[in-house]
Amino acid sequence: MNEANLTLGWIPLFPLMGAVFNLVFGRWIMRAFGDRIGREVVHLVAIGAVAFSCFYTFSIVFEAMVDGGYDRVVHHVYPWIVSGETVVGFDLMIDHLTAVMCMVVTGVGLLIHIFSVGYMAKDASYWRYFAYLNLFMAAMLILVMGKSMVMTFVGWEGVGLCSYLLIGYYYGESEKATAGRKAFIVNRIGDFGVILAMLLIYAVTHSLDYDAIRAACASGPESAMVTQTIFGVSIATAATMLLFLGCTGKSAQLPLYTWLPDAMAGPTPVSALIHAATMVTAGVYLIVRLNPLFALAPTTMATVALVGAVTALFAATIGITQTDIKKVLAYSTVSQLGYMFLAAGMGAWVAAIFHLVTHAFFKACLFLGSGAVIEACHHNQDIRTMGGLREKMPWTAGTFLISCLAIAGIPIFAGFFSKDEILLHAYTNASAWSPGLNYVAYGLGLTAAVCTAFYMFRLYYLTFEGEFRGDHHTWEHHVHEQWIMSFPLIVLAVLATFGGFLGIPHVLPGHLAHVLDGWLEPVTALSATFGGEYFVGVREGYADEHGHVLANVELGLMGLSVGVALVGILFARKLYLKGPSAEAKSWSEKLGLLYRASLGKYWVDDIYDATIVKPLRVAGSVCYQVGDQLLIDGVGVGGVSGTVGVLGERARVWHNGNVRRYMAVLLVGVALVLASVYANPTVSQLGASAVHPVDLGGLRPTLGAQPIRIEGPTLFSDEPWFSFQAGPGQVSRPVPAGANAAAPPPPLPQRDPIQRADGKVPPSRPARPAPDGKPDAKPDGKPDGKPDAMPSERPDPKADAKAPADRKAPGAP
Amino acid sequence: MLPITHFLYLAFALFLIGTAGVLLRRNVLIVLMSIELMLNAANIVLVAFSRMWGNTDGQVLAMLTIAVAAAEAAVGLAIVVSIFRARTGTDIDDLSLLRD
Repeated sequence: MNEANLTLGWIPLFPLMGAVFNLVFGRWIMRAFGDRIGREVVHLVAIGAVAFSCFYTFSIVFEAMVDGGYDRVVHHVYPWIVSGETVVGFDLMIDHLTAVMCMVVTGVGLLIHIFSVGYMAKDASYWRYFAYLNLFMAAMLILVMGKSMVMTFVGWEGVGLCSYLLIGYYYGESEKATAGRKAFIVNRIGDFGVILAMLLIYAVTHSLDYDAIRAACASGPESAMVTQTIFGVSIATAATMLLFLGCTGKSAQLPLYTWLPDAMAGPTPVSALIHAATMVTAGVYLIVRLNPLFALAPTTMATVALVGAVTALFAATIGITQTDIKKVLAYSTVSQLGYMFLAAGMGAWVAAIFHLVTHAFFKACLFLGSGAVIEACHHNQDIRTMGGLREKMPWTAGTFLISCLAIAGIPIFAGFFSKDEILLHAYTNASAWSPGLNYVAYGLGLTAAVCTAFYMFRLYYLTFEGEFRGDHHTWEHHVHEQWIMSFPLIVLAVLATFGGFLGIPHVLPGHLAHVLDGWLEPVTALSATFGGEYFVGVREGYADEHGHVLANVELGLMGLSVGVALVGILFARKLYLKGPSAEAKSWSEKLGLLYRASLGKYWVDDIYDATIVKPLRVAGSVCYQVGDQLLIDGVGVGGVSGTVGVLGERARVWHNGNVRRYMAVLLVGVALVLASVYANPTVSQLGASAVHPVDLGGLRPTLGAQPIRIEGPTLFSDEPWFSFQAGPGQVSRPVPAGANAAAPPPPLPQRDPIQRADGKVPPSRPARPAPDGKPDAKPDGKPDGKPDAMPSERPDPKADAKAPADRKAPGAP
Repeated sequence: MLPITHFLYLAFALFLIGTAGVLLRRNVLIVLMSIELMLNAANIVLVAFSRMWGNTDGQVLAMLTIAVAAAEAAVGLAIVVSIFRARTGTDIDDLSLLRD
């Protein structure tokens, strides 16, 4: 692999520095420099940091990768976690996939930063907003640039945190703070799956580096990921299922999508950046990043495709009836993310990333457009009270229309190419494990496409066409455009128009190159080599000799999807061109239950509330009452303080102020301490330890059993009160005190100092031998053990540190 | 040369007498004198061992103890005098004001 080393650390570091700057100095700057200049400083720092990252990313991609021909650029910042053989480096990488993600994140991020200047112009804690936004950029860049799953997970959690902070940005309103908490908690469920998946993968590869995971999948069906199993399923299947759980949380798929519509509580540019263009696509990125692993788990692939397709339709049908402009876009995002997962599940990795990119363009444009509308309408988000805004907001309306055409899939706009590619691959790609999945997935996807076209144009007509239905004052004095908000819209609309040319279908005349396909080829090459049930690619019967889809199939499917999109648009035009018509009302009555189900979001939140949230709250309340209040506060803390109090009351009686009583107690205490010192049995080591045969120079090894001798006190007697040996190979045998020391068999050394054959003085106690020739060992032969023998008992520190090699009794062989 | 045991017996006896005085007598003056006895018992042990080991450390420590004992006697007697003035008695069992 052709690899370059460049300092990539700057790319996430600059937004991080911007975030730190604004968090630390922002409030002060806004106060000290006055509101106007303070705001300038705050947003220039934030925008400058992101602009730098954007510039740096584009330079690296185009100079090193496109011109320089390097396959990837790596930066080993520092070895982060080093523990035994596990080494996790703080490593960043830009390869072909990361390059796409990085350019989208920094590019769209930069535009949204600029837009925010206009949208947040009157916000009081301006600095906090930009600090969070910069922090998000840093985390998102770490997510996509991480060279190992650990790094990706750091970014994954970082964007989750920023999402929470920004959803709950207006934390003064309790329902918005609740929405932030909901997003955080629902994401926790998914993150739990990601952590477990990381552990499973680590158990096989002993590394979480993407290169190592890729290498572990390299031999296809024979690789360890497939051959090793847990609970009867292969590691690949188990790990990818858990990863997909994480993806459903982060990328708002069934069943964990419920947080995303609530996340619209945050400022609108945040919805555009985090909850449409970048963060929610992290799940798609993760699947494509680990595509060899997913390809080896056909069960998961089928699940991903099915969940994606069902989510696409499910969310699209909810989007049809919503009346909050941001809620419509939120459900639209869930639906479009469903398309991406449908593509990923069918093994169309490039199509998933392609749709990710185009979706980032047109959905960011739609959200920012809705932001401009909301700002113009006094922060009113109800489309029933809008209408006719095109007259006063032509740029916003124009860009919004372009993005609507793009998301509906009308040719030459970006969404047409990417969505068409997804539907094409849903129909033609192999899914050997689950025959019939193609038709189910394609059918769901196509139905969702009709709904998409319908609800997007319903939104457009209700907002921008017809007559204004709000109050006169707003229309006269407030509805207007600001160039700082229109400029990013125009850039994004241009991208939404021409972004599709990154992936021109092969079948179209001219046979132009599918740029993205060629660019991502190194990322997807490995999984394309798998065969049998692990085969990903166009299935047999639909592919020509080059592996392309047959032209008639492709053109037919393309025509069908454009056709249904036009049907959706025309139907919306018929019902909503001049505001909500009577016909629309009659349709909603005709559909009855279906309409109410869609309007009530299929009551999923209520079902979750009844089945999960309420029981959890009850359980939590029980834990609080019993565990916290009763056990910890009552028995634990209260018990300790109460016990100490009672004991103190009792002990207080002894403090009667009588000095002579104190003195008596003191004396008894000293006597007890001295007695315990003398009565304490002496433990000494005999020979070397079984585990550590090497003499450790007097240090007692703590591992393993070893032969020891235990002796009682020698007070008032020549012999220890009791004495026995224990340990491996030694039978525990108490030796009666006063046994004759001269008898040959006893293994005990003599208490009395006597001359040995070699002229050495045997130790008075086994553990504390007197070193050779030390004069204080007073071998004066006094046998009575009177106090004048005390010098020989004085422990010699030098002797203590040295374990005697010969602890056998004299006379023992 | 006297064995060390003799010194130790003497010191032990002095210490016991001092302890008994502290424990049994109630006059503050006598208690102070008994404490002096205990200190001097310790001094004897120090000096005896110092002589036995041929090392002057013990003697130095004994001199230090004497100095401390003198200071202690001075302060103690001053306290006794002031207590006597304030309370017209030197019974140690009555001096329990700090109990509560």
